[in-house]
Amino acid sequence: MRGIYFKTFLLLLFLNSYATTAQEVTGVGIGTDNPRMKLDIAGSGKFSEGIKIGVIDNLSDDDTSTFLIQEESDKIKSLDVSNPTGAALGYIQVYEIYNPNEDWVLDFDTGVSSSDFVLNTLSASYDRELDINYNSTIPYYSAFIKNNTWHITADFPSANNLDSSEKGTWTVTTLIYSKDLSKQFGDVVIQMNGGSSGTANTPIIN
Amino acid sequence: MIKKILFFILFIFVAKPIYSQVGIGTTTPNADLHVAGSMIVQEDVELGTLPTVSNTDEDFKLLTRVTNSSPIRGEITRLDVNALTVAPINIVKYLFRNLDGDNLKDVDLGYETSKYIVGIADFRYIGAPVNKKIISGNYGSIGAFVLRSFESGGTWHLEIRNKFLDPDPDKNVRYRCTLVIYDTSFYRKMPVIRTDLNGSNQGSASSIPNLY
Repeated sequence: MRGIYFKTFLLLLFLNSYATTAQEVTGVGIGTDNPRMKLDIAGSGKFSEGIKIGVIDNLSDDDTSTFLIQEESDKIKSLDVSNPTGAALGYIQVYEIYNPNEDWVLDFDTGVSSSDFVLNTLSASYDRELDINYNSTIPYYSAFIKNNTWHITADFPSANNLDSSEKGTWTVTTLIYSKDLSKQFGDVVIQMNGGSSGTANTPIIN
Repeated sequence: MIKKILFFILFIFVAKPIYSQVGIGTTTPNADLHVAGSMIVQEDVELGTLPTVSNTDEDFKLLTRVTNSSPIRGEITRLDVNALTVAPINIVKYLFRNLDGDNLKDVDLGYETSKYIVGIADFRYIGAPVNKKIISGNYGSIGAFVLRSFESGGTWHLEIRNKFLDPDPDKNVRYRCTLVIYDTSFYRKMPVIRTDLNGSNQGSASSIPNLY
């Protein structure tokens, strides 16, 4: 009886010492017999405190990659843009606004939340021939916030379709990105006091 | 004797992980778990405390996950745009000169639509104006100026011109613009949203892009 306990003890002692010496030769596997690195965990890892990585390579041109983020459950997740429903750093959204009031889009509601996202117009064009009376005009296109969503306005002020029965299309390209990646400062109003040059204070504090 | 042995066994297997730090490949661990080498975690990783970057932190790098690394996908790397020929956002300045009038109808920019999204910024029109086509008195056509990037044959193309009018034949126009080239590994082109406003200058988009 005593012999069995002693043999068990020796076996356990051997296993314990084997586990501590074997790692120096190959590596330690948790849930795997074939660790491919110093520590190979065939499962999840949880670090209640911090983690520090000594050697971290730069991304190279041949690598395909995604960004890492930490979400609210503390899990580390990747931004997988190739997944059509996954999140991306930003989105390019093209709006085709067909048959507005001649060339005038006063207020087009994209429905994109202004509390979660920033939406900027990158470029825009209108596809019909325009006419104008005495004035001159420049086209504009702009995004603005109203009722917690992003809206678009676009126009050639004072100009209209040459043929008012034609139905035109504004094509507006927008860039949409998350508020997690950008910071929106308030409106800056500069009083020019009737002059043509002035100074603005930056809202960004270094 | 048996009790002593059992106690000793318990001491080896129970007491050790509780009262000391674990080193793998090192006998002097300086954290609760110290791996002196590389580590693979095949499934999820959860970090309890991940401090945020503060206002005074400088030179920090974004972390990336390589999807073609070996022996296992998912090596953690950092993004250093100086080490790459293509960054998530690439800025290229262009000058178009010696045009036929103001007509830049179709320039193949060569960027593959599967890899990149081309946005236009900082546009400048330099040179002669197009001539207004007088209909009566001062009343006349100003045509329609178009500035757009578009996809054709698997690459991005550019159109910059007044579609209906031209400057005087002996006058010329140059264009400067910045192309913002977004890598589709990080940015996504959403399907076009087309909305019919039925002649009104107000309305709502026919759909809202799903960005969540």
